[in-house]
Amino acid sequence: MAQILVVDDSSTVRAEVGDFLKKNGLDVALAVDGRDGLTKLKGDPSIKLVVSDVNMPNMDGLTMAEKIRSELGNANVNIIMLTTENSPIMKERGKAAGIKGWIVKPFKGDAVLATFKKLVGA
Amino acid sequence: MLSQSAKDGFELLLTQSLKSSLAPSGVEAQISTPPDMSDFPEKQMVVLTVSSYLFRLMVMFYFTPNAATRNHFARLNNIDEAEMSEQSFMDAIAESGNLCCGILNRDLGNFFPHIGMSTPNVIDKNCAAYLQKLNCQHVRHFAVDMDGSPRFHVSLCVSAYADIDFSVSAEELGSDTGELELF
Repeated sequence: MAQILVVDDSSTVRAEVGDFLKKNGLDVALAVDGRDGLTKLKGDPSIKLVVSDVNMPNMDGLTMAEKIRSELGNANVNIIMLTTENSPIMKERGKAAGIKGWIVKPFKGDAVLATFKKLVGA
Repeated sequence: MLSQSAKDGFELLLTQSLKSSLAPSGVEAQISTPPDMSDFPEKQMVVLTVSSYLFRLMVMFYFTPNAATRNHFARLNNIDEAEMSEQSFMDAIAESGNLCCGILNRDLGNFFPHIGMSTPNVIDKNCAAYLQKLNCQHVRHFAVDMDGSPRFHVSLCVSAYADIDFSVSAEELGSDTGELELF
């Protein structure tokens, strides 16, 4: 049972973001790419927020966001992209998939923690 | 083929991205430009490419996999050094290169919309001796110094396939990283 799913192909980013959120009292699950993210989300209905990288092998984060809405039929989970990408085209694609927000790496936990907690109802 | 302004622009963008990606929170990176790489002591390097149909830019991050380097990357990523496996150590180094070139890729995208970057590759530093085979029009080396960390070295190599001219100033570069943009 987790509140937040962190999806990133980098174990460094998963550890950095996951550890920060856990230290601040949030339950976290981890996934290594978009395909893994879909599986983890499908298996844990308690997840309220997905924080995902964009560029990943097997399935990128934007495709995962689209499939969360279409294939999983999950219209409620909040999705935030955490990426070095900042292109308007990608953001528009994300918006079309119903993502909630966009963070440009590097991750600065203190800047987003309050919003993350609000999105998961903590 | 590369204007001086473009060379300065590539260097400035790389310098800024190195400061954002290599320095732990609260630490400022000091960057200098050694004339060549003959004194670089590192054993390995992470190589990334940022390219468009107009140019190819290679960035080499040199490192030695020792205790001081491990300590730096654990500190940089807020990870307990004792829990850092060999694999996660290498991943942390590769991710730093990835982050640095991601920032570079993003900023260059303001001038060159059709641009992309490679994934990081770790290779032996001796391979750097063959860089001249790439016929780069512009090569610049950097030394990165931070309190409590070993000195790191970085090389920038630019190959141009057309006339490249753009201009960027430090004042234009925003610092919008880490903030959540809500839709």
